[in-house]
Amino acid sequence: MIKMFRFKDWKIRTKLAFAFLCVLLPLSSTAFLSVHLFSKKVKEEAASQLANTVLMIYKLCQSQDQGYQGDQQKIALLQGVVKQAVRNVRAEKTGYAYVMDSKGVLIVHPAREGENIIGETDSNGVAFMREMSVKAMEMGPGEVGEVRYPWMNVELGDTKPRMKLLKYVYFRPWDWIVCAGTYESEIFQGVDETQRIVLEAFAVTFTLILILTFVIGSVLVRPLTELNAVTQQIAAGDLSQNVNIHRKDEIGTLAESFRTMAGQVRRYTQDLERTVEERSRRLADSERKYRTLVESSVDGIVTTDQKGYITFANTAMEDLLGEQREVLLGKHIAYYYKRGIDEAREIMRELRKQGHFRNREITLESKTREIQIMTSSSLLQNEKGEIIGTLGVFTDITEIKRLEAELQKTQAHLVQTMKMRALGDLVAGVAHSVNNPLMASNTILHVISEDTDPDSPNYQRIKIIKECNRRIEKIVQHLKDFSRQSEGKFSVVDINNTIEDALLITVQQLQNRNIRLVKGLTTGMHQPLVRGDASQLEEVIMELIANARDAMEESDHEKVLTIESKVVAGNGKKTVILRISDTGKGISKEIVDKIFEPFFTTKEQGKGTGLGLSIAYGIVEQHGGRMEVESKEGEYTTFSIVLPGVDPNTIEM
Amino acid sequence: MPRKILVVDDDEMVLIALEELLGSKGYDIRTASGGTQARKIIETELFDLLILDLVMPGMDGYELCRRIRQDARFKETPVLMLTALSGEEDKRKGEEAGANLFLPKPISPQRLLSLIESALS
Repeated sequence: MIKMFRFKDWKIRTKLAFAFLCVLLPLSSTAFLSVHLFSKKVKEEAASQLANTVLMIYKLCQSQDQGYQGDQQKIALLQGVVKQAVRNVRAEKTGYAYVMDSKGVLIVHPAREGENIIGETDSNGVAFMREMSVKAMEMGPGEVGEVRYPWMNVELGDTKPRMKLLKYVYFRPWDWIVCAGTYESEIFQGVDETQRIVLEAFAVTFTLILILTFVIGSVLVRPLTELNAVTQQIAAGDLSQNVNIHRKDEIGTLAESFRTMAGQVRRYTQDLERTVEERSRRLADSERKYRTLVESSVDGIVTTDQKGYITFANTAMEDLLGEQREVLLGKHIAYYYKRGIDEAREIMRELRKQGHFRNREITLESKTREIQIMTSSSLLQNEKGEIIGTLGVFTDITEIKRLEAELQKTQAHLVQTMKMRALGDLVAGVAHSVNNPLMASNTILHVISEDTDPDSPNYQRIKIIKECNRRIEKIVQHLKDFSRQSEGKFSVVDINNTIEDALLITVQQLQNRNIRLVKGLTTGMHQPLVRGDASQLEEVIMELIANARDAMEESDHEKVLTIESKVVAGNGKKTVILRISDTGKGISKEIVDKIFEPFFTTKEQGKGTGLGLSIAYGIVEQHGGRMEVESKEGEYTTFSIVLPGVDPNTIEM
Repeated sequence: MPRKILVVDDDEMVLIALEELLGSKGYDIRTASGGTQARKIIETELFDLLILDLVMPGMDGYELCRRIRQDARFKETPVLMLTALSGEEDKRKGEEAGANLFLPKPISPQRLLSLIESALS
């Protein structure tokens, strides 16, 4: 609050006004004081003049009276002299002297001699004559009294009462009250004049001061105001403004300095603008470059805030998830993780631990598909090192994964094929090596048996050896079949016919074992044609039917053998599928991989060679097909044979 | 006059067995353990029937059969080819070389005897 009243905070005009007033006020107060003292003096003088007048008349009366006491005639004469003197008294313009006795009768008066004026009242209604006569009677000889009263003299043209000053003295010997009075205004006439002159001088001076204050103020303040306005405009950013003050005083210098400064500011600003423009351009270039980099990346790039809400996603990410950027932004990243928030938490935990990680495999889930992803991620930090979010790069490895799986399958298949082929070669060698001694043995046994008495024990023993040899022979025969490498004579075969041929031989066996046969063979247009060896294919079907039959041997539930054939078209190729299912004991998971290997059997010793399925497998493979098995233990087994089909229209005639 | 048969096989056991079998049926048997020995024998002797093994060290059954067939004396002589191989391709090659019958090993003695009998009749 105090600050508001500090002199330097005042406006320049106020200061000027204050300065002028500081000079004017003592001057004017001195002038007024002088006038006041002067008027007082004048008044005192006038009063004393009046008093002197009445005293003089009093003394005159005294001196006249002294020598002539008791002589009435002389006294009257003397009184006449005094009366005349009184009549000649004039004070100021309209002032005069008069005499009345204590009863109010005017003894001497310029206009009203003889009248009794004891009851006269002034303009306020005060009977001042009576008061005066009472006072006069009480006064000592030569003592002068004074009375002031407002009086309106119509004869003199007064329209309102004026103060009148009256001095009086009482001359007891004659009972005379001598009075002299005048209007105060007339006494002060000169004083008033002086006062008027002083006032007028004051008014003129004051007016001059006001004008000066205004003019000087304007001269000083206007350029400052203009400077201020321009400064404010410049501050607001309008640099085209300039100060239009050209003078030679300090303000002119200030304006010049200001112009120089404004010019500098303009130059600096232009430099700054150029620099900013240049930097902005470079920044924009750099931004464009990185945006192009990010946008042309084939990998999805995503940033999230600390909480995991997506703050940026590039085009590749849009394509990956099949969603527009507007949809992605603001969504939580966990929304797209197949494992949801758990995945997001694990990733965040890992990031907090080491700041980044590489090549983590995760699964994303879009509206339409699951996407296998290899992701690398890192924390995003600001200049202060505070974590502001995460950055993730997502590589779609769905196709790679699919190919990997396919490759694995192909590899497994290749391994299986190679294994079978190696086994085939081995078996062929074994078969060949066994056949010679087997033949020699059989031949010798034959010779011996012919020489032996059929009733002798040796004949029986020879028969047992022969049986043994027959079994060996059978095994070797199977081995040879399995290892048969040559394709033989392939022709176009209708699998349905092959199935019917195989069933012709086996149907009776199935009936004997209470096995219901269900046939689902393709008909009409979809003739299941393959290129192959009909007898070999029949062998395969027979083997599978025999296996199915044996699998259902001890089955408790309904025994059903289903044979189906169908043609599947795809990729411009036809595929023939042959399926044989049973409701038997099934194949346990542990051994399902081994069933196509030679010598693998679950049948009791002597009942099977363990070669049937491996031979069937070999045959199917030679036909360019594959054999698959699907089984549930205790419920069913299904063998599927998939062979390349032949289009009936392309068969060579 | 017993019929004369030459058996060629690198397996001595087979030779012994066939000699026993065919000998017991009254055939006159000569044996050779390889192509070279066989050709030496047929230079001086004539045979009514030849039994050749296919897979032998040195000269194999096809080669031997071809050579024998080049000899005018053996142009019409029945040749049985015994083999542990049984592919169609082998059979074709055997026939090309001039074999009359292509039989798999092991063959049952009864069948072999009946085939020989019918070949010689």
